[in-house]
Amino acid sequence: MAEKQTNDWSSLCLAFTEHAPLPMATVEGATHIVRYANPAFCSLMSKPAEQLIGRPLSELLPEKDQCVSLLDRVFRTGKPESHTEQEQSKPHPIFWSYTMWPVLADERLVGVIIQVTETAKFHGKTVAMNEALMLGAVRQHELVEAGERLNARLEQEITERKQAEKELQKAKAALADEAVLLERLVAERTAELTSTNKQLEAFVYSIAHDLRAPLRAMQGFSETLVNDEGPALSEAGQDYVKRIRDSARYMDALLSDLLAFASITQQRIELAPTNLQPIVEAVLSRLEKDIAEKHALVETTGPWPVVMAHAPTLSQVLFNLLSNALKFVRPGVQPQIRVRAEEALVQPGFVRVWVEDNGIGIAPEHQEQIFRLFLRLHRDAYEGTGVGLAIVQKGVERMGGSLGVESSTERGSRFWFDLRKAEQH
Amino acid sequence: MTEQQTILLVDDSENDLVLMKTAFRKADFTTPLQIVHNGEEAIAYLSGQGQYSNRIQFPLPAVILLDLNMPMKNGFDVLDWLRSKPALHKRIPTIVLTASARPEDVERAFDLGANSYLVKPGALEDLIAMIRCLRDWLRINHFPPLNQYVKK
Repeated sequence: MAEKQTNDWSSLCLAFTEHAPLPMATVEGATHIVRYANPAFCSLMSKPAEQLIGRPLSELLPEKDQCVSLLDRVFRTGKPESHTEQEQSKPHPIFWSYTMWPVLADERLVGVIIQVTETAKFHGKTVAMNEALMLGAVRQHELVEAGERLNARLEQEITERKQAEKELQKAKAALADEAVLLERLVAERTAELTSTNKQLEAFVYSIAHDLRAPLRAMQGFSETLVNDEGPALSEAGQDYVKRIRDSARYMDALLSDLLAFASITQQRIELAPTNLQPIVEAVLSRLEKDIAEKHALVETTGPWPVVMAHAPTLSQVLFNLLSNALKFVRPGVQPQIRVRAEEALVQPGFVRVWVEDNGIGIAPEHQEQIFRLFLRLHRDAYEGTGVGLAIVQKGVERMGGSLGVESSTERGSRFWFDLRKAEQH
Repeated sequence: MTEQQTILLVDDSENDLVLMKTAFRKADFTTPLQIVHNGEEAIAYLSGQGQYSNRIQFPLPAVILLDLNMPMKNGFDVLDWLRSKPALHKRIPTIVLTASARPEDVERAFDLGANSYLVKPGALEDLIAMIRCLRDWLRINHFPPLNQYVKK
């Protein structure tokens, strides 16, 4: 078994040396008789194995070869040696490396194994490797440079980004400042506007009141003149004084209406749940004199829902609509007026209040214009300032409602306005 | 109030004063009128200063008809002054009679203790009706004594 193993080992070693790319040979005895040469050795010597084996190595090598003296030394000392030698005969230097180690049999030196290596190939390879290394170094340098460039660019980019961020923050701060400025500007403008509005309001009032003072005098004294001194005046004189009085009266009415319009346009309007019934009743009682004088028939039909309204404005709206209904009737016709409220059909959540009359009506082509300020369709036949319906429209709009009229010259007018119904709690 | 008592009319407009006198006459309101033309004069009259020191000639009025918009001191100043005074002056019923119908003015007048706020009507007949109404209103009211209070 052990024998077999040894045989196996020997054949394995032989197979190694046979196939090794390095030239190897074994020499025996003091004269270095070649006992074995592997194919690589044969090819190095450019001779077949038969011409090498059995011959002393010194015969096979060129003269001056130090190899033989080295062999002698190994043979003598029994220690492995290695040696490198340069061959100058070739255009490119060839280096030969020898490694020799003793072969012992029963602890007695019997031969030497020689292994030769031509290092030129290594040299070339080393050169190539060096070149490759250099190239690599260059490449590495390039890479380092590229890396550095990249880093520099990244740093630049980071710097730029930081700069951009700084700019952005600056812009944001500027924007915030701008917003604050704008807000302040808006506040200032609003204050200015409010102040202007207040001034305008004060102006309107003071004009109206200042105009009214002399007007009151004209009106009062012309009336006194007509009443107290009338008989002393000629007929023409009486006529003149009456004209002064009537004009003053008209101007007074105009100022009153303008003031009412200004106040309905400018006053603060807060909507609250408002019961329609007492308002309608109060308005009718204010018109009592008129109603009695014209023998008018006024019908109010409940039930009266609670609406979201501003009571004084709602009163003004109803007053103007009702006084119109009393005013615009043909001579000799008894005014018949109906006031009623219903759920608005077209606008859910709204209440529609109707003021219906049997008056002169409004021709379809005029129905659009009647809410315009100072518009008077019947300048000569009916007194008026042309402000009443403008007040109605403004008042309803300011209470968040809408209004309209259905009218024909045959049947009279039906004015309506919608107001939001108050939530029932 | 009795017919013998006085009404103090405070107004800077001569026209309005003439119209007022006419209206008083036409309304058969015969109570004597004392007339001053601005707030300063009104305060002098009410406090009995200077030419108004004679209380027999210039008695404390039973009622004050006070215009608001006047030179020197205006109607609000008079109301303010009245309110700062002891009971004697505070007790005098003060009726604002002005051209202004501004809600702010109405609010301010009542805040300063006005007892009534009337807007001067344009037509004389309306003014007459108003004075007549005022006369009737004064007749049906009970007021605390003024002159008697002074004697104490």
